[in-house]
Amino acid sequence: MRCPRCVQTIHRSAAQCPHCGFVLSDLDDLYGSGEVRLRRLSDMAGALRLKERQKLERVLDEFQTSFPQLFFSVYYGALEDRANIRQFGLWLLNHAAYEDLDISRPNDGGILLLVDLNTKVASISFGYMLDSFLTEEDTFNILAKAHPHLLQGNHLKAASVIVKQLSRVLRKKSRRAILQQKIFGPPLNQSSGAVNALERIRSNRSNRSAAEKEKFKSIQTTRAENKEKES
Amino acid sequence: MKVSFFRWLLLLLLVSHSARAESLPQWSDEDRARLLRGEIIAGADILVEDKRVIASLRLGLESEVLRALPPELEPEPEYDPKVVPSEFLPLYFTSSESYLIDPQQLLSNQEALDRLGFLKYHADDSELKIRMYLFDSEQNLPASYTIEKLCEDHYADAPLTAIVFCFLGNPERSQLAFAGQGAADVLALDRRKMLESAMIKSMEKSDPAMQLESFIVQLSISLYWLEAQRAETLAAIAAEGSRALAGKAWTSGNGAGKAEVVTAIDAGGLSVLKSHMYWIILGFLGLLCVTAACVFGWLMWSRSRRYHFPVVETPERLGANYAAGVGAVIAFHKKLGSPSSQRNQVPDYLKRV
Repeated sequence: MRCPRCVQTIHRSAAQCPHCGFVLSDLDDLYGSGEVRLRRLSDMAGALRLKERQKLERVLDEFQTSFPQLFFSVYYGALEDRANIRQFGLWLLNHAAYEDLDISRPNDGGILLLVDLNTKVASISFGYMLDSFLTEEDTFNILAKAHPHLLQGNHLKAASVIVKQLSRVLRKKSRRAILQQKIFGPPLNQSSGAVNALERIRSNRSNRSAAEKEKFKSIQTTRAENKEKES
Repeated sequence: MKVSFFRWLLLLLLVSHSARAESLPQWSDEDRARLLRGEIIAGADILVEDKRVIASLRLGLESEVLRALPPELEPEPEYDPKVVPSEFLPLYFTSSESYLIDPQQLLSNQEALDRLGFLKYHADDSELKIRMYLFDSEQNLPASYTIEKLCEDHYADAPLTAIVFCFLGNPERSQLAFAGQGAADVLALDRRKMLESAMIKSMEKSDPAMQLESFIVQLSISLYWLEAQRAETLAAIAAEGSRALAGKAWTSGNGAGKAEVVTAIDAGGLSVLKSHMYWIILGFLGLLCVTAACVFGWLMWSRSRRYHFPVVETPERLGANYAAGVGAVIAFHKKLGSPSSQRNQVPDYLKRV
């Protein structure tokens, strides 16, 4: 795993980046702390025509049919700072409230393709559910397949290729995970079921441990104090 | 007692005398010598030279005995190994359905059946049939009976046929000619090459029957290549013809759609293919349907398949509630910049300006 700000490798359960001290709340000051109402396909930059949007919607529907726990969302925007695309992607996936998604699909199982048409950069962010199954290399290979279409400005084709390649990777990972589960049994830290996980997620992770909450609170207060001192 | 004894003695004397009187005549020494010299014939006294009796006897003998005697055989003409017997010539020079013409029965029955079997096999497999005429090694044909005359008289209207005069045990004398439709198209050079190759192949064997077998096999191989060559030529001619017709139709501008296209269907072995075309198309369509059904089934199955992931409790990272998975970033502003150059994701402050 990498920190979205300094792109240094961090631990899977790091509460903040040990290199730059990044936490998600830092981005709330920049982009806001409230929910962002979005649709799966958000074309803020006007990259797609109407028919292309409809086609892409169908592609996204097919993806959701194959993977009942997951969803794929695409955001075309025109950001100002190129360096912030990783951070923006992470912030957006955590604050997005998708209008056209069923409640059975939490943001945990979301995959966000973010395309910045201003700086011509694309990135992929994904939820905790895919943390163990998707690697940075996988996402890079998927984006590399769509690179020629992105260069040509054929965003529908690029998005379709990305969804197709991602589906291939995820199918393989799913089969392997199910097989390993059959052989070795369920993982120790696996939750009792998808319903419980959904409830937990929708309740804004209310069942997180008290120590964990305290830890985050202390980090946030420390950061606020530091900022006040600086100002 | 004495009287009876004398009676019996008298009777014995009488009997012995009468027995001596009735015994076989004895040859005198003089007669025996004459008999041995052949001057007298024994029993000549009892033979009767009656003309009537002799005449009646002769009549009886002629009617009964002489009729049973075989008629007088004509002397067989001497066999000349260099001449084909005249009675066989018409059998050679007639139209025959058989592929092996051997009226002199120079081959044994089994050998003839074997060679005929191969010739039939060749005929089934090829458009170019072989007619094999067998002669003895030294036999010469009369001047009026030639292979050319045979071709003209009996195979002029037949399909293209290879006529072979084969002299058993003497393959160097073999003759080959082509008769029928398209015989003129076969070059003399090709014909000579075929004959030479068959002769050389047959001369590798010592037995005349084996020589004949080698000859036929090699000739069959040569004819196969000749047939393939002819098929190519016909196809080229047909294609040229169709092009010419299409060109004419194009330049004239009339009836462009009606231009007859000459196909090369009849060329070579395509006619055999044509006869089985129905089954080939049917099989191909069946195979296509099965493949399409399999592909369709597989697609339906793969589309309907659902993929799940085990839900694993992961600790929060960087204070994010739902997602902290940061994937790769790729830039597409430079057309010459390949994606591989961006594989190592490094912070911007580490990049060279």
